[in-house]
Parts: sequence; C-alpha cells; structure tokens
Amino acid sequence: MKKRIGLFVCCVMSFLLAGCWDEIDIEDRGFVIGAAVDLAEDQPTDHYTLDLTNQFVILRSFASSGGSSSGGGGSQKPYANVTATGESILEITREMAALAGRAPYHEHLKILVVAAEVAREPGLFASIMDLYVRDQEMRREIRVLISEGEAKKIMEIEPSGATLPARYIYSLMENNNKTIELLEPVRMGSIHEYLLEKNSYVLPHVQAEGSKLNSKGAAVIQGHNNKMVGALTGTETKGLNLITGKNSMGTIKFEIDGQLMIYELENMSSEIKVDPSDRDNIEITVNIETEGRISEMFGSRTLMDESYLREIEQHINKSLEELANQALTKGQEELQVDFFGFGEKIKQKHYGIWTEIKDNWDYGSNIFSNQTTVDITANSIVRTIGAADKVKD
Amino acid sequence: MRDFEYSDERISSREIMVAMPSVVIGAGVLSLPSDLASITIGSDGWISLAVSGMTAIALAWAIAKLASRFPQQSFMDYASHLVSKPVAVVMTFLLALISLQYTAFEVRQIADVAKQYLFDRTPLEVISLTFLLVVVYAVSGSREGLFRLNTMFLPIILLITVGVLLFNFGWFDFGNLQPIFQTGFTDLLRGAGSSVTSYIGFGILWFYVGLVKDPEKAPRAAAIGMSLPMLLYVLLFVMIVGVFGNAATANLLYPTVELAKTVDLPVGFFERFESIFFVIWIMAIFNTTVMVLDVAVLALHTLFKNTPKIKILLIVTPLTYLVSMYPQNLLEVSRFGEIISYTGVGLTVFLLILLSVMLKIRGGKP
Repeated sequence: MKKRIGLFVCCVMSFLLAGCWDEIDIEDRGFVIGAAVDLAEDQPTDHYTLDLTNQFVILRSFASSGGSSSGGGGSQKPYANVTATGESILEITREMAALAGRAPYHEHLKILVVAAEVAREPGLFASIMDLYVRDQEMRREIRVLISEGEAKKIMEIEPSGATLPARYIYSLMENNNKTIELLEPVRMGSIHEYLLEKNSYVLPHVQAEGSKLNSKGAAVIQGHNNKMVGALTGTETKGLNLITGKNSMGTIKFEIDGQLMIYELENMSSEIKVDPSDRDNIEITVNIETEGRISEMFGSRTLMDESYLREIEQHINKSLEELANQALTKGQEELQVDFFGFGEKIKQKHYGIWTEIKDNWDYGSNIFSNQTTVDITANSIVRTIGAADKVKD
Repeated sequence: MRDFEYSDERISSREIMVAMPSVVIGAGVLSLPSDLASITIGSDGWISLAVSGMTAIALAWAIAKLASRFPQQSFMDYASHLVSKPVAVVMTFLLALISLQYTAFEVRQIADVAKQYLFDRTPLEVISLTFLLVVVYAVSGSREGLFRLNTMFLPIILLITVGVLLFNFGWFDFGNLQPIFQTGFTDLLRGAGSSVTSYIGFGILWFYVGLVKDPEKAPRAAAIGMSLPMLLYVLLFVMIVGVFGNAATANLLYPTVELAKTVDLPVGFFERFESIFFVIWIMAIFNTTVMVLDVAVLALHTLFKNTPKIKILLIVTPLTYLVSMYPQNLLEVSRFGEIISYTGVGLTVFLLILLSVMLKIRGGKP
C-alpha cells in the first residue's frame, strides 16, 4: 500500500514539475527588432500623440525559405511593420498586441529611430527614452538614431541582399563606425547617462532616400531641455570626431601646390586638456595626433623628399585644424552647446570647479560659449606613401 | 526524508574558509553598487567597500578567535560559561531570530529579482515558496553535505563573476571612473556603513567554529574567506561604474544584473548571458539562504535539545515564509533588509565585546 501511495505521489509530482507559468511559445512571441517613433499628424489632446512603428520578425517566412521544401510562403516578406497611435509608448505597445495578434517582445530590439520632429519638442525625446530604459525587457545596447523626415520610412528601407531593414541599419552602423564622417553609434545606456547628467550630446542623423539610408551627420541634443537644437553636416561631424578622437578611419583631402592630395588616416587620437583655474577664461587645449599615408595625389612631385614630406604634414595639420575648428565654431558660437564632452572633462579633472559652473556651462550664462577659449592643434605623421613613389611624370 | 549519515558532522577549517564567501555573497551584491554610487562621487565607492570589508574581516577573525578558545563546544555551552545560562539562552534566541529574518529577506530578494527579470507572470508567492522548499530540503539533510555543496558551488560562482567582468571590458570607460578622491570623509563613512550590510554573514561563525576539527586554524580561515567577497565587490563596483557611469549606476535597481545583461559577445549563444548569470546567482543565494537557515535551526536545536531538528525546521519555515511575504513593495523590502543588517551587525559587535570582556574576567576553559 505504502508503495502505491509513493508511486501515486510521484506521478502527480511529475505533472506539477513540468509546468511553467511564464511559458510563451516562440510562435506566439512578436519579436520586435526595430522601432520608430513619429509625431502623429493630428494632436487632439494637450499631450503629444505619437506614432510608434514596430518592426516584427516573421519567423514563419524564415522557416519556409530556409527549408528545402518549396512552400508557398517563400515570397513573403520576413518582417512586418505595424504602426499604432497613442500617447504613451507602453499603451501603444499594448494596442499593437491586438493589431499584430501577438505580444511584442523587445528582448531583441536592435535600433530605435526617433523622428527629428519629435526630438525638436522640448523634453519629449527624454520621455520616450524612459520606457526603453525602465522596462527590464529592453537592453542598454539598443542603438538610437534621429531621422530627418518620417522615422517610419527608415523601417521600410529594403536593402538588396539583406533581409531585415532594422538589422541592415544596425550592421551598417556597426561596420562603418570606424569612418570619420560618421558618428559612433550611441547606445541607450549612454543616453541614460547623458539624461541623468544633463549633458548635451550628439546622435547619428539619418534620412531615408528610397531604398537607401543616407547619413546626414549628427543631430545635436541640448542637455538642459532635452531638445534637438541643430544638426552637424558630414564635414562638421568629421571635425567633431577629430576633437573627440572617436572614429579613426577616413581620408583628409587637402591642396598642395594647387593640386589635390589624399591623406588616409590609419591611427588617430586626441588629447583634451582643460584649465578652468581662471573662471572668466577657461582654457581648453585639444591636441590631435594622427598617423597615416598618402594614398592618392594629383601632382607629380616625388614624395621621397624629407622636406617635401614635412611640408605635406604641415598642410595636413592645417586642414585637420580647419575641420576641427569648423565643428567647434558650430558648437561654441552658432548652437552654443557643448557636445564635445569638454564639460565632462572638467567634471572629471576639476570636480570642485565643475560643481560651481555646471548649471551655467552650456545653458544660462553659457560659460562654454562666452568665457571659454578652445585651442586646437594637430600633429600628423606621414608614415608611408604607398607602393610607388611617382606614378606619372 | 531520511538522514544521510556522512561522518561525524565535523568540519575542517578549510570548509569554514569556503563557507564564509558562500554565505556573504548573496542577493545584496545585486543592488549594492547602486546604493554606494548614490552616496559617493565618481568611483570613490571602492574605498568605502574596502573600509567596510576590512571591518568585516576583522570581525570575522575576532569571532572565530573567540569561539576557537572553546573547541568542540556549542555557542550555548561557552556563552553559558561566560555570561550565565539565562543570558546565553536569550543570546542564542536572538541570533536564531536574526538568522531567520535574514533567511526571509534573502528569499524575498531572490523572488523579487527573479520576478522582475525571469518570471513575469508567476506570482511572487509561488517563486519564493519553490525556492524556500528547496532550501528546506537541503537544510533537513546533513550539515556536512551543506559544506560540500558550498565547496562545489563557489568555484562556479566565482567563474561566472569573472566572466561578467571580462566580457564587459569592451564597454569599460576609464573616464567614467573620474573624478577620483572627491568624496568627503563623512560620505565615505556613510558608504562604508551602507555597504557593511553586504558583508553580513559572519554570524555563522558563532556556531560553526564549534564544529571545526582544527579550531586553531579557524580565525585565519575565516579572515581569508572574508577577503574574497571584498575583492569581488571592489572589482564589481569599479567595473559597473566604469561601464555605466556613476549617475546611471545610482539609478539602476540591480546594476549587477544589468552588467550581466550588457555582455554581448558576437557568438549568438551569449546574447542572453544574463540567463546563465541568473542560474548561477540563484546558486549563490541558495548557498547563503541554506547556511543562514541551518544556523538558525542549529541555534534553536541547542535550546530545545529534545525536539528533533526536522521538527524545528518544519516549525520555523512557515513563519519565515510569512515574514518574507510581509513587505508590500520595493521600498519596504529594502528597509526590511537595512533593519536586519544593522541589527545583525549591532548584535554581533555587542556580543563580541561582551563575550571578550567576560573571557578576560572568567578565563578560557570551563
């Protein structure tokens, strides 16, 4: 008898053990891989009404195109964009569950595109970020982009060869992040830091053009009211990257003896030194060091000449300084926003002074644009000149 | 449940060395960096951690030293000798009570974290009950077995921690650590005060040193065992602040879990590294809970000698469960944790001073 009871208990137990309260079949999950936020066309209430577009991965079409059997679903798109409207992101997401027939699952979300229109409204951008930081399903590695024009359009870019638009944009950003004209991708985690510290910062600025993603440089977000205040062009982004020393690959075009010459960067670093001891004139020096090679020239002088190489290096330095100063002028004089991270540097090195000036750094009496001098110097070395000295004579 | 008879329920000092970090490393470290970062500036919190760690090492050493003066004696025995029987009974009872509260707190913490990150819809009550039942099963068996379990789990726990540290090195930014040495002295002390709660667990030494075969080596073993969590905490804290920055660390509820989530290796398998981290960390918290509950049962067993261990266990477990379910929200849970930690530390220091003084007066051997 005792044995039988034991057996019975074991049987009942095995039923209990096999259960899982949180079980969701993989077919029932709506994997969101990209999201785009736009301002809705009509704004009926006092709060902002938003359009959220989620890009869902359709697993079935993956399965059927991957298998050898020629199923009917092969021509089906592997993704579906679903747009819904509402005032809060979570509310829209819930609504979307009804539209898409499955609950959105954000664990694999890769990119979030926010329309410039949204970012230009004060505070709205930060409010949208809230859910993406707060929700434990979200990862801090989500890359954030600002799009000129409709963000929804970015989700519709269909690259030849690649399958999912969101993944295509993600890998595009990851692989090109060494190029000096482009901004380093910005992670959600960093935005959380910027928002908490009230730092100004830049985000990659893109635009959809047909089936192509056009990089437009960088969108500048003012830290104090969380508002996009301007944008940098590709050239200005180059200058910004030179100052921050972030992306090190790229070319610098300059003129020597009336002819064009191309200097290819191989290594680049920058050193920012801050001296805030004189409160009325904070001195910042930026020293850019580069290494590289001459990879194309239009003139025909020999490069195997020490003094000529020195002269070339001088020219490179001059054009680097010009580029950096261009970005600096844009930030310091035109936008009056410190997106270079100088303030952060002062905080790191001179914490006492920073606590006094932080409220008026690039806001209020704006110490950054009125009482700060930034001095940029570049120092370049031409390491090599390629495989041949003179190609033409 | 039948009792496994391993040996004579005696342990070696090496097992004390392993038990120390096993008890100390638990749920506290998941949220520790956040409290510390909100008090200190930049990465200065590591100083606080080192200070409180040193204090914990000193406390562990002192307790073990005191207890090792009375080899093969239970806490009840030597406390009765030093401060008379009624006082010893009260002390034992208080220590058992604190241990039970601490068990309840650990159960609640793991249930909260697991619900937040793993089981979205499973009720909190079910998660904690399941966990507590496993703990009870472990405690009802041999004590020697628990020590073996500690020895088995600890290397795995250390391995996963090192993994989390290494795999995040790509996100590490030295700029985030600055400014350094800017926190005022009082804030550093406050930080040390708040982080000493993460080192709680030296209470087990009051009871376990009596089981040690080679008690003269116990103080050294306890101190070494305690220095391991200190090292681990400092490394974790510096890494977390380096990856997230001070402000973000202060505003994350469980920065350590977020750190595990940040691990993103190109290999697809590791895209969700935190799931492995969770499994391992539940083992760490299991170790903590098991040891603390076992100490409570051991303490009560010395009070009620005639009641079998299993009966005591089955009486205290439902009470523990009720206590763990009592706090209503996040804030109450963390206040509950603070209260237990501070009373725990306070009681330990008080006992240490009192018993040491009495030892001077009455001398060692009974």
